Amino acid sequence: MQDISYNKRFEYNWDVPFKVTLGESYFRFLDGLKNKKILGNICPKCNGLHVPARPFCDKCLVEITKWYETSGIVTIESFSVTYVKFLGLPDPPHITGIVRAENAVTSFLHQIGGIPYDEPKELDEKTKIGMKLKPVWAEKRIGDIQDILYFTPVDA
Amino acid sequence: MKNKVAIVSCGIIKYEGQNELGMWNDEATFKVSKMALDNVGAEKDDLDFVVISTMDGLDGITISNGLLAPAAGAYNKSSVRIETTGVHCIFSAVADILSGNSNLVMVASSDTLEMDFGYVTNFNQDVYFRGPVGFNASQSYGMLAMDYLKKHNIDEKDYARIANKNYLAGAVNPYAHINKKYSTEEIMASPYVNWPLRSLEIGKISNGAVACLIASEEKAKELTDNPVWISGIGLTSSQYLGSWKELSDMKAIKKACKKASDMAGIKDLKKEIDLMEITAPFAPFELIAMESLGFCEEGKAVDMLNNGDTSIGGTLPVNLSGGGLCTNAPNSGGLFRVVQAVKQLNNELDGVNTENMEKALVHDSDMFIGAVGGVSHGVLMLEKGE
Ligand SMILES: [Zn+2]
Repeated sequence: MQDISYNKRFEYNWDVPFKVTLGESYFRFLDGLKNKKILGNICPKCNGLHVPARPFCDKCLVEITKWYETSGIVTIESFSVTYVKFLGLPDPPHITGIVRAENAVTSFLHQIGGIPYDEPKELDEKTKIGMKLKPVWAEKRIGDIQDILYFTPVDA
Repeated sequence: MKNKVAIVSCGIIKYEGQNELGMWNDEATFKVSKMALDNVGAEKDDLDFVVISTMDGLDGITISNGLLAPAAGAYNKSSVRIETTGVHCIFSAVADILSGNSNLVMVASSDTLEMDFGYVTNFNQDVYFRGPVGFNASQSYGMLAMDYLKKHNIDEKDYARIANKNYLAGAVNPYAHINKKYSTEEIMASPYVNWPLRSLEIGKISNGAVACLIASEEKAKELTDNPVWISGIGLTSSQYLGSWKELSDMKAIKKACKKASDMAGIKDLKKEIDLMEITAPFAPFELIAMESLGFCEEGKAVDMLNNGDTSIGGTLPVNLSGGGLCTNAPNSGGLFRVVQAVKQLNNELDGVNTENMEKALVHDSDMFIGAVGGVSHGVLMLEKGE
């Protein structure tokens, strides 16, 4: 077989513009962030609190219409400390958390920050499941999930 | 199952690193599909239906089925593209055969492209809630690995031992991408990516291609003396924005396994299953899956590992193929594991005796693109015999 290794030359990127309208429930949740509010909604059938607010309940498959304003305090349910640089992600070390608002039946992802350390490796131990966190808000808020810069320990 | 369906032939090429195959998806798909047909003396015209497993983001084109279906023999025939794993494709093939619509179905899949998997799996997330906040597949692996470590008070070294066990198996598998026997010490010395996971405990992306032919009982008997019967199959989806409890307790695997076991008439998995192939793109998922599938109590899979039960020559070998650490092909990994299980049941492995092994379980999942939330799991039961 002839050597075709020279042929590994086709390099390209996808850079495709998209636009979408998220609908009322997601919009209201994201719009609440502008006013430093973390809103949820409650399923009429199972009473499950959904944060972020959702148009429907997965388990009951019914529409959710009842709104609820949370305190903004969340609990760490799980987290991952990342030690290498990934394209499109923050510089390491960074902590991606799964956090839950009050007694919600859903959780959501966000960055955890403001935990002091000397060596990055300390973050594994200093970040704890069950830790209470509060949002750190962006100065300029536009109604998206990054209006919260990150969540930080309540007692920080 | 009321009517019988069998895997009658496989085609596979050796897996390599990204962009190392020296051919595009269509050519790789053609090669393995033709191999599967040739192995049992079948022709393109014998095919009734073609199923392809691909994901657009992993192919670098959005009409990959248009390119790949004809390469697997679908010209002028019915075909579907399924964007989740091999067991899901086999589900579709089995359904069409049981409906009486088809007698012979080709299932094929390939990976030939180099891409930044971290970036693609960040891009795969929604761009409103998960994508923007620093999340890709790797963080999801880290979360599950951390959760399991904390819950069961096991050692990080156990994770390295699982990786080592897989590398030892991959080293003797001629189709596996990684054939290097990394020692536990070498694995422990590799850097943390997402604590507690180290770089040698996470699968590197592999390229390759694989195909298999699925046949009705009548067609199977016509084509081969060596069928591997599909005795059960189950699929279950999880929640996308669920609570951590929901995301981590692997209810979907349990349900998929229950469906497949019931269909296969399996009463006692641990007694009846002889070998397993599990989709584990990061080492400890092997333990999590074994427990969720019901092979041992929670937190006890590590004992089976450390006793050597799941190694080559053990009582319940898991991932004799080398698993996801040795071959981690995003499009074709599921079908790769199915084909490996078929080869194991047919005792076709060099230097590994699987002669008396009759029943295999294959677990498959799209979790490799993000293991917490919006995951679908599949379980396939395979059986040798008349
Ligand atoms: Zn509900």
